[in-house]
Amino acid sequence: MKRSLLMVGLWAAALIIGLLLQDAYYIGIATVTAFLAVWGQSWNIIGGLGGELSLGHSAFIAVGAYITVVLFQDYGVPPLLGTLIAVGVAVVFAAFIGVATLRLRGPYFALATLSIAAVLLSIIVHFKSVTGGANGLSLVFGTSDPAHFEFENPKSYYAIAMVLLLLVTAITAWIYRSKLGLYLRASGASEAAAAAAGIRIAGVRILALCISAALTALGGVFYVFYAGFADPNYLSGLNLSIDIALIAVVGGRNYLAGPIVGAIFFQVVDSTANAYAGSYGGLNIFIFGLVVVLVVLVEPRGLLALGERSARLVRRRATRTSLESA
Amino acid sequence: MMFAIQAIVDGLLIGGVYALVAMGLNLMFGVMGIVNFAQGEFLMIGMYIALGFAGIAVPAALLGVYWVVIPTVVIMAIVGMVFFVVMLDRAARFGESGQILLTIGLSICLQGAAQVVEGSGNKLLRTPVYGEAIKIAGVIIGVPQLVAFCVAIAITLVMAWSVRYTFWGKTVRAVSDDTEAALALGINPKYVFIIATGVAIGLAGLAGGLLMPFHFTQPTVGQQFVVVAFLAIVIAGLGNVSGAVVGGLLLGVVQSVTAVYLSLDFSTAAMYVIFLLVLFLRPQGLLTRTARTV
Repeated sequence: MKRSLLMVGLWAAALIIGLLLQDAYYIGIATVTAFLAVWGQSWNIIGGLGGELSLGHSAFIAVGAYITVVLFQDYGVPPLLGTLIAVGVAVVFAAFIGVATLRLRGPYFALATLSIAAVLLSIIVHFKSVTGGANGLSLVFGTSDPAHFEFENPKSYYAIAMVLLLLVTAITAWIYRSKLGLYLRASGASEAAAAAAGIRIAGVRILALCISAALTALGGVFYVFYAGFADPNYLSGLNLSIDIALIAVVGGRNYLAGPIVGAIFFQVVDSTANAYAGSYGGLNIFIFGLVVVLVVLVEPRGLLALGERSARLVRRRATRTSLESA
Repeated sequence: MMFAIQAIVDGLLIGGVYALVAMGLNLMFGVMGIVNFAQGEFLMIGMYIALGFAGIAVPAALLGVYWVVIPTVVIMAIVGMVFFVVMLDRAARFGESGQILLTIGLSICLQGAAQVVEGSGNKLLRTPVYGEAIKIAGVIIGVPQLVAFCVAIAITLVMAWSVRYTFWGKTVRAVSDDTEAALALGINPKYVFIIATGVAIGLAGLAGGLLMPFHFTQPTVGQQFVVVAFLAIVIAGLGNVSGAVVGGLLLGVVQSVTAVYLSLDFSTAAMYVIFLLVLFLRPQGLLTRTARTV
């Protein structure tokens, strides 16, 4: 309880600080961080709790983004309704993937999800008349109508992303405490033991993947309206899928705040390194990759676990010194 | 008809490179159960090393362009052994997902390092073999591509033979079948793992050295090869020694034929679709006879 109050407090503080920012550059960084945290948190439902390493989550982002935008721009479907349709399609898509990959574990599941996202990318690139192909799809903004997800103030998208993050985190927190979360963790830890305990692993996995996909797609919808442009190689690309997974892992897969910490860390490294060496300098991915390697080798439970461990160490040392001086 | 034959030949030639990368992956998976996502980056490093050696004029004049393969393979084999001792060995206790994450992290890290050191531009060295081609019955075959292909086939044969008949091959099989029993027989699995990783990364270096004369070098060049190589070994059946070559060649042909007859946009997707079909319908792979749970 204390922890969740603390988290909501930190969230409110981050929201207020973000809204007070004046520089468009920093507002952009804060917004992207919030979206990455949304995706990392959504990924964590299947990747962290369920222990299934998905490397194709960008597919759900692309589904959310493209369906909403194409329905709106080509068929005049209001984005609110479009969002519902897009999320629905993402859920169906995820259910299909879940059924198809039911027997696959570990590297096989990772490669299967990666392949599905790659096939989706090829489809998006090929059907140019609908999706704009490899050149991407620019959003045509008319009046700044909130019902069309158009806002003049860029901070609005930051606020939206933060609300999404709160929603996704609340849902994840509920899953942690629900039976579904227990089942998921049990089947992620030992499939045989979970099955022996009477858990329907297939159903639990598919349900978790569908929830994860729905939330990821929802993030994708608002991201594309924020960016004003749909770039297929980013939205359905392997790099984004990998980033999302690593964000959750680096922060800490077993922590509610893990993906959020991971996203903040990722974005701080990214923007600092890019400011120093340019966005094609490679310094950003060098440092982030190095941190991933170190995290796996030193504390595979993530930065939050590392923080906990060092806090314990400091406390123990403090007690020892106080005992010695007494 | 000519068109079709040319497409198939092109596919086989690029498939040879896929096979070389896949062979290293397959060795690591077969012996240690490790899925090495960084194999493509080791290929990329191999290409840069080969590029560096290709600039030295004297041995190139004496031995020809392909002398660069020798130092590249030696360096990469040493890199591989260090890679095992420093990283893989320690990550082993964190299980499958820890190892996957480690190699993904390493692959990103190495890509970034290459960008920092070499820049993100394409580098291409026009060695004497660059653009050389022979024409057999109207089919054009690139000489450097043919060299890479022939080496891939030769290496497969050597590997298949040595795994079956040599003492070293029997040791490797013993360890991968039952590590504990091998231990009881006085085999130190750790040494086998070190050597296997050295050979696997050395193979990536070999692929890099053979690829360099006809393909541009760039920090992210490895990614396209490693993903296809993964698909290749799963399609053929993981751990199957000759599987890497069968899968690699098959995917090369699928890619090239799709590009010619369907659309260039789908040439990559076709490989993934074949992979997914195999994964869903025959998860033990095309070449593996006994059913295996995945």
